[in-house]
Amino acid sequence: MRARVPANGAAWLLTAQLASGQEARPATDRTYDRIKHSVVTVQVHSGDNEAKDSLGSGYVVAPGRIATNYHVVGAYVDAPERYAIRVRGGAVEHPARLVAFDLTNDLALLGVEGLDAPVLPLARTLPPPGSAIVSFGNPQGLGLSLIEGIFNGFAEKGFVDRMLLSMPLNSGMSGGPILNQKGEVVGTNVSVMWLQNSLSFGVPESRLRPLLDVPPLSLTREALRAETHRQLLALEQDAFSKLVGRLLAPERPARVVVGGGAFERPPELFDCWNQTSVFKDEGVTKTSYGCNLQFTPAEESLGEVGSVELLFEHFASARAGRWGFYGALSEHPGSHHELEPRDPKNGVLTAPECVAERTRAGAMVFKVHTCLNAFVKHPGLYNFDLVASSLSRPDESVFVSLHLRGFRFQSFRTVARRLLEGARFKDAP
Amino acid sequence: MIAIRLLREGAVVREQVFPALPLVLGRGPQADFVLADASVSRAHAQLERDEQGRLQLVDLGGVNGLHAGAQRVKALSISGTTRCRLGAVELEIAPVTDDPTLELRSVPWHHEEQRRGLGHHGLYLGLGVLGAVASQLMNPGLWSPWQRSPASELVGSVVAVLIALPLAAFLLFVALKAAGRRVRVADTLSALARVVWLSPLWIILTTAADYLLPGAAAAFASPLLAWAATLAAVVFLAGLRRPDRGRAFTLGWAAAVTALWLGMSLTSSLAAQRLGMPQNDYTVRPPLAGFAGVSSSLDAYFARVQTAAEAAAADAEGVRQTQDGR
Repeated sequence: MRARVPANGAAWLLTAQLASGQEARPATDRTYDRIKHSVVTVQVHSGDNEAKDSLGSGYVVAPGRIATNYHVVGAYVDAPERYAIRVRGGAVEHPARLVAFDLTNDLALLGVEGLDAPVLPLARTLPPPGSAIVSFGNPQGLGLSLIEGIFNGFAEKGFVDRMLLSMPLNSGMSGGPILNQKGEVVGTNVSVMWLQNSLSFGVPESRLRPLLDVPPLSLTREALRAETHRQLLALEQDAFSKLVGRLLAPERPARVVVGGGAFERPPELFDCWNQTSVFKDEGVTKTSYGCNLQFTPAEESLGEVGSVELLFEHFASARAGRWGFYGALSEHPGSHHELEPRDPKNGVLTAPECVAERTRAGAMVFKVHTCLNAFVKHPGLYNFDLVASSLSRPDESVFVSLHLRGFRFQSFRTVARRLLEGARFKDAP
Repeated sequence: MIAIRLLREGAVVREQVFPALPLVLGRGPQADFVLADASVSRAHAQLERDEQGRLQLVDLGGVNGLHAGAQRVKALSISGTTRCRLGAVELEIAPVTDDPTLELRSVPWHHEEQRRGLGHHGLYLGLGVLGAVASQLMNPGLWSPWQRSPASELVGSVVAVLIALPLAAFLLFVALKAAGRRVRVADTLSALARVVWLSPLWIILTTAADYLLPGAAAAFASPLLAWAATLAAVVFLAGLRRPDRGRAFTLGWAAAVTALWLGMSLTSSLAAQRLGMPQNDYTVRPPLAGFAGVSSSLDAYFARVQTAAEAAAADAEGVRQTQDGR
């Protein structure tokens, strides 16, 4: 059976937070000597405190310019008045300032004065899948390390393009360069496979190039918040059009049959799994079809944004009376972990607002529950959690759940309407 | 002929028939109908005919007055069988014919204060147990296919009632005794057993409300019905064996229950707010004879979600300003 990837962590970001104790083996060839001066450690400090709050890697991508991951410096973007960024190359530490960031692709560009290090050239093309590559970084701040691996092309699921790499990246190597045989940059380290580190992910260098041309950001809290907001809205637009565009596309096989239910087929960019559970003693059959996105951007303090989770289920009862059957269904949406209450005191999301009602969609009647939280710092964006159980037949029911992170109300309405109107019994006319 | 009957707890305990008017009612020895009660004046009221020949009872200026229902009146016209109260004493006045057909109600007035046997207590307890079983049977969870042992669930609730009901009856008995009521444990036990039946009644009403009302209204109905049930139970229990249950008494208790209720719902909603917990009712009721319940259109539903989103946005704005102000 295919392992379900947790919704909020297809990939484990490489910022050093936990000691994993594994050290990359030292490289001895010429590449190491040639590259070592161009790879730096990126640290985010809070105030006067000498201790680091966050640690990652970076590399010189243009004179006075360091490329790293957005998630390495995310804390700074969120609260620039509280943090300072520093870059350490060899034994020398330099203050650095944020020049640009790309939340969607998890990239950031830093400016450093007086850093005398050679620029790593960007490759013009990606190597063919199966090519050997090497990755540099400073795991846990232990020292510059090189890891050899293989580029396998792109991961097939998700909103953002991720290079799929056979190599064990470690914490703290986030933001380090991925090089081809010629020593040119083909991408940036970003994350490892959830709960196992033999597969890792990178951002292709083509996503980095546009950052080199944007004018430097103003570093006030308001300006950074406005830029984050702008990028979140753009991400939302993109995610919505990919989601709804594919849902509405006429040429696709429009439906997916789940047990005795039929639903809108989710777009291919989702990672979906199918499961049927027969509860013999109870006389209940439950068929599930769940989908989520493998790769969604992570914004500091918001977690995964632009993430979408879908779950379609069909319940059928052979023996249970209608009262008991629906009694059991009542327990189902409540046990749904996604509808757990959120602490409003974290200052990131508001307290949830919920609306529950029996609602007609097409020929069906559903009991629909929606809870939503607004993003405190980003007006117009919300988290939505919807669960709906059909009430049309005494001994079977279809169930739809939809979880959106960082979406506008209009997008939620369009997607939710589409899913509810598209859900029916397989044998319905 | 005029019959004057003395009542106690609504039951006739004394009757006297008079052939002629007027009649004086009071505590004094000269009264025609003597009432030995401290709340009654010596010559409290007079039964007479007015100019039109209609029968009426006139207050003679008794300190505690003449009451028709909860209202204090100067005079009360008697047509048919009429009930009234002189001070704390309940009376029934009725013009009667010569037919000797009037029968006193066979319920002995002293019944309620009599010591009752174990059988009676068992009967009351059984009534309470039946009420609890009835509400258990209406709980969909009991019939859920995931419910492995509905029988033990039922037995559990029976045992719980068997323990809790006598205990509650005793506590209520102590409280009422302290308030000076002439009450026995059998009274409180039978009263509480009747109160238990509010639970299945409440389930029936909320279920009906859920099917027949749109979501927003149904969400209102459930706490409203719970409030009404609590009110009924408390007023009923507090008024147990109280001879004069006037309007002020009922209103006072109703106000107290309502205040307590409001306080509790305010506290729980504040607590829920503090925990960030949405108060969700996930109950999914089955279609009955093809009727899934009153439902709204998707448009109406999303309009409500939009309103919720606007509320959350306003909330976010407030939090943002607080954060930026720091």
